[in-house]
Amino acid sequence: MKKQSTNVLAFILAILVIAGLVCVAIFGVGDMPGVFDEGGVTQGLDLVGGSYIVYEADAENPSDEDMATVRAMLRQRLDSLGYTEATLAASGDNRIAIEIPAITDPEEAVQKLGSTAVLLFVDIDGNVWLEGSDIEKAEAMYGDSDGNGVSEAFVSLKIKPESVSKFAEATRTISKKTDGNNILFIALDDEIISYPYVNEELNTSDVVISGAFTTEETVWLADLISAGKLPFALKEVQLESVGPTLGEKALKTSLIAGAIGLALVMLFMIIFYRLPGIVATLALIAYSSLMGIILVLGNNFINLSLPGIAGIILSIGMAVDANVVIFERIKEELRLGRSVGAAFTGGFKRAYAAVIDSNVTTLIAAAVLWYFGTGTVKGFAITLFIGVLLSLISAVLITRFLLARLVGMKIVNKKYYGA
Amino acid sequence: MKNFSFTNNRKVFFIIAAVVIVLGICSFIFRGFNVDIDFIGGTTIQLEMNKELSAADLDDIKATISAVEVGDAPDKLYETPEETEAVTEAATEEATEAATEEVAEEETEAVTEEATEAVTEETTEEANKEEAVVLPKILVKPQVSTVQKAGEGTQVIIKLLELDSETRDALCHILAGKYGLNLTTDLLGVNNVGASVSSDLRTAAITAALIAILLMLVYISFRFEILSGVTAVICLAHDVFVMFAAYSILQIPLNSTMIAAVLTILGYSINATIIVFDRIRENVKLHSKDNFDTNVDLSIKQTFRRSVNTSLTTLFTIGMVYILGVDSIKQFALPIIVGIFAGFYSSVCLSGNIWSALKKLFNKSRV
Repeated sequence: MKKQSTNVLAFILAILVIAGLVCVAIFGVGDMPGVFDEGGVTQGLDLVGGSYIVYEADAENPSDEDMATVRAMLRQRLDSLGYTEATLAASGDNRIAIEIPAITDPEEAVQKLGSTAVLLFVDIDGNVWLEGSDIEKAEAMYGDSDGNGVSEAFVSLKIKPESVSKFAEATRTISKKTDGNNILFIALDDEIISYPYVNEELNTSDVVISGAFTTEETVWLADLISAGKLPFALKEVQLESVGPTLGEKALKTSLIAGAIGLALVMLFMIIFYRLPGIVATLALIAYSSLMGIILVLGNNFINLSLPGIAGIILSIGMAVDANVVIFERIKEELRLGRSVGAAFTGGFKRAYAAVIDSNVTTLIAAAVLWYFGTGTVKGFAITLFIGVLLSLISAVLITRFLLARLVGMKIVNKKYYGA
Repeated sequence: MKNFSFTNNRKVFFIIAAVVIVLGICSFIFRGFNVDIDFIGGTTIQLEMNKELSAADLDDIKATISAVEVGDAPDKLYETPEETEAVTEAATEEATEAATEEVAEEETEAVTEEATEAVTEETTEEANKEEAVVLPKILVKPQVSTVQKAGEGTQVIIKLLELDSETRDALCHILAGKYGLNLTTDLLGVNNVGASVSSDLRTAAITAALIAILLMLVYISFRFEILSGVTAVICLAHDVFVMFAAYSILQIPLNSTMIAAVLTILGYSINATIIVFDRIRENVKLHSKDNFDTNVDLSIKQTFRRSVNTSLTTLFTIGMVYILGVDSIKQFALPIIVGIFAGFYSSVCLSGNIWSALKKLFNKSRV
């Protein structure tokens, strides 16, 4: 009798835990937002609208440094165009992939971002003295550049030999200006990136730009100056752009499809398997909540796209499979005349091998796609992989625990188990 | 069901499968595939035309694009003007602010003023440049391959050979002018895949699929015997073949989501086959006196309910996705639905029978 009440208590506790999971998933907890909250789930570009642009270096084998320079330049351009939420990543040896959410004119972005960088050296009156092609190299360095015994971060600029005379003339002219006007503006794409003072004529190829820089600042400046003398152009090789109208519709319809599909599955399970069906429904609710929580917690690297939603919906279908296999086995055992308790133990035992084997094969497929896939395929693989893992937990552990409590409560009328 | 024998009707099942395969091959030859730009490169533009489209409308759009020549430009930009202006203004303000801040750090006040002025001038110039809008021009003559209806019949997907950004832009504006569209809301999507990317996507897709299949087979051979592994391969080949037949017959666009759909079905179908084999393995141990066919028939019947129920529940979810989804999702869901039917057929009607047939074939010499 005592044992029976422990089972009732455990069952109620389990249901409370599941209810708690649902609340956490929907409303969030502490710093963690809920799935429907702003900043909860990171939505893919196909859901919020936006552009995915891939640029390729128009050169045979661009060096890693050149590619780093290109990335720094693109970041700068993204920021100056106002696309601060854009993400940028290297893709292969010679490509860079950019994702810009909620953008209205993708072609403008493609053209502006990919245009050849224009680097100009200008004086305060607007006269252009040198261009990007006059520069041989720009490097961020650290050391005692002016011989005053203090080490500092500075940018070392190497002028091409044929341009040294031009640079000498520029510095001579600028240094003769009144104090405060003797500035050499360095502008990239019409934006001033540095404005050093010039105090004397510099008739040399090695120039130093210094002045209370941090190391990051010198790296940034050196990268941008280097961008102005890039030996190759950027070629747009891929554009995927989804307008906000289509994205919004896609999200809404997919959510409705998921909800209806889930409801149908639950209804089917309850009608067909009765009490175990109800348990399976509880397990599915736990599964959905856990999936939501993982999507929120992992929103830095999981991007929920349309194929991702398809992956989740498919894994729901597969989560049910494990339960179907187990419940069918229990029914069979009951038909053989076993007691509910014996049928429960036997059914689970016999079903395990099949459930594990079948889920492992799907996990293998999902893992390979996750590793090798790109874009849409990857989004699908990630949610399918997580979905199958979670479905194993929900279908095997949660269902088993709840069913064992029901048996322990002496709810053993075979009718309740669909026999 | 009780009196029906799966093993006695072996020939019927094999013939049905053979007929489907022959139909598929005919379609491959005569209809071919609707290969999407992912794998061959190209440009697609999806537009909301705001009216029910007839075949004549589609022909008209095709004719309009075909009439476009190099050097053509739209009369104006078809966007909501307030928005463009707002963006430009905001950008200018920001730039000016940023520049002012930067320069404001300077000590000499006079310079600050002058420099700020200079910078402001520069940015204003830039803004002016933007206001005197440069219309995009057609740089390459667009080559249309298809114009298809999409969505609820009011949208159109135009597939072209690869175009550069400016030409795409110009083309969209020309179409907007002709059909009275507002590109801010009616341009649903633009996709462009260059030749280098498409060949990389193709390689990546094939590599991923082959590795996944190989690993799944290693796992099965490890868990069962080698003949069952071979049987599983034959069943998988059947399922993939049926899916490709669906791609060809229904002209579903063949793109990189195809790999995900095919692998999903491979995993799903292997599950189903394993469930049947697991039963056969168990029944052969339990009823070792009965011949193999009897055990196969018994196993298929014992697992039949599971096979039906699992297919049904999966169809509930993926079916809803197909019914309610947007085009790109429909194109993904449809082959999966076909694959679920194929997987059901191959695991219930083919797998046990093929295993048994192979066993007879290879053990004949010994018996």
